[in-house]
Amino acid sequence: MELQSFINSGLLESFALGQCTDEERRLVMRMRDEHPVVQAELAAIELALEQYAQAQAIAPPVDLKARIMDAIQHAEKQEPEAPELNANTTKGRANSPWLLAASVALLALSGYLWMALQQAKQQTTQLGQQIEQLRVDLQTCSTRASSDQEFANLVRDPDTKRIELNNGKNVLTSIFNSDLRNSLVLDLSGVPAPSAGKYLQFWAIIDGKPVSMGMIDFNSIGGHQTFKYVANAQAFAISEEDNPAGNATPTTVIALGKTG
Amino acid sequence: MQDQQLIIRLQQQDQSAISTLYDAYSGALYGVVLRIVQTNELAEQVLQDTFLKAWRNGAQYDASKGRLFTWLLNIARNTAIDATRSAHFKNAQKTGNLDQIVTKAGGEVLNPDHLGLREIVSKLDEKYSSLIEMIYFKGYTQEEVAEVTGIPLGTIKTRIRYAINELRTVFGDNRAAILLAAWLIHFI
Repeated sequence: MELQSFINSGLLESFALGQCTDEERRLVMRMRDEHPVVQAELAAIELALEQYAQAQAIAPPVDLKARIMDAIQHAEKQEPEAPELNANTTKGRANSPWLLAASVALLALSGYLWMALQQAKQQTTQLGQQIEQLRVDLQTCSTRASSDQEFANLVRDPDTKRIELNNGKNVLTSIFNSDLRNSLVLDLSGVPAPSAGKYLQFWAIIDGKPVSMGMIDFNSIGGHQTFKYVANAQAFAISEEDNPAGNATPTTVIALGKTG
Repeated sequence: MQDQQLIIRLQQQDQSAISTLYDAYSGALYGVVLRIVQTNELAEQVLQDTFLKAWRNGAQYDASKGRLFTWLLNIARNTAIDATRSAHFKNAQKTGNLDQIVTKAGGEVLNPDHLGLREIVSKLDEKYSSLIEMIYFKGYTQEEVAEVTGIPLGTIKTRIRYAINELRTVFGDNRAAILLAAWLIHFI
């Protein structure tokens, strides 16, 4: 039924006045539930009727309210909240075998329920821990994934300069240097593990002088490590150091790569 | 928008809810009831029964079905109509004591707000106001009204819609705002 003609049909007014047939009432209630505008119309009609009634108000006698509230209090005293209890109080208590059996059964039941509850609590804790672990794993994966994505973008970018580090004989690994992306990334996959007790330091050669970029961390995510971007390096180098914190100047250079 | 706290209290059969409802609606309800049962004595009894029932059945009030006042009015109207079937009422009818009491009672005004409302409502054409009176207040069905007045049922339905529309306009109902609000709710 078209909405506007439904609203204009007078059915809503009939409904508000309690004048509908059962079928009409069901229709109105359905339309009201499906269409906020019908609900709003109904509410407005009800309100108008209410205001009309208020306009015709006549004050009842002043003492009527007190009488009514008294009557209600009186009624409340005579209607206890849980009528079922009344039935039990008329029976004898302690000596009823039926009651005893019921109590025992209840006790057993509550014992069982308590155990079930404890089990459920344990399960919940375990599940909670699992969820926490999953969350951490997910976090790790997400971080790794976005790091990989960034690395891939960096490598693919035609503006990125690629510098190969070699040890005099072979190319070990590459460095990706991008002005645009402000990134200096070392691919760790080809970097050899240092000798026992030694640490690797990464250098940029600027104006003929080696400038430390930091220690190489093989735990870097995704197998590549990001360093602070340098604009005008002539070369990059890796050195082996005794000191885990590195040295002011390279001790033993194991790889070098010229930019130019 | 209705008072949510009040509704909750009512549904929990809290006596204080009845007190609040009495303060808000007793006048409007008494006016309806008195016009049906016609004596103060009966009207007081009916009003008391109404609020007692409201208190007892408070848990059954469903805000989604309509306003608090409508719910109370239905209780009051039905209780009043039942009272008219009582011997007491039939007696009073016979002795012809009724008319004076109604006119006397009609002189009392509840509070200044309602003065304005009365004035507004008095502007409503009698052929419309009498329809609302008979159906909304006195609880006649449209069919009964058609029978009593001789007005065709179709005409009655049309007049009711017109009458309520008039009431809404007269009370400052803002239709455009309602439509807009309803449309907005739909999209939230």
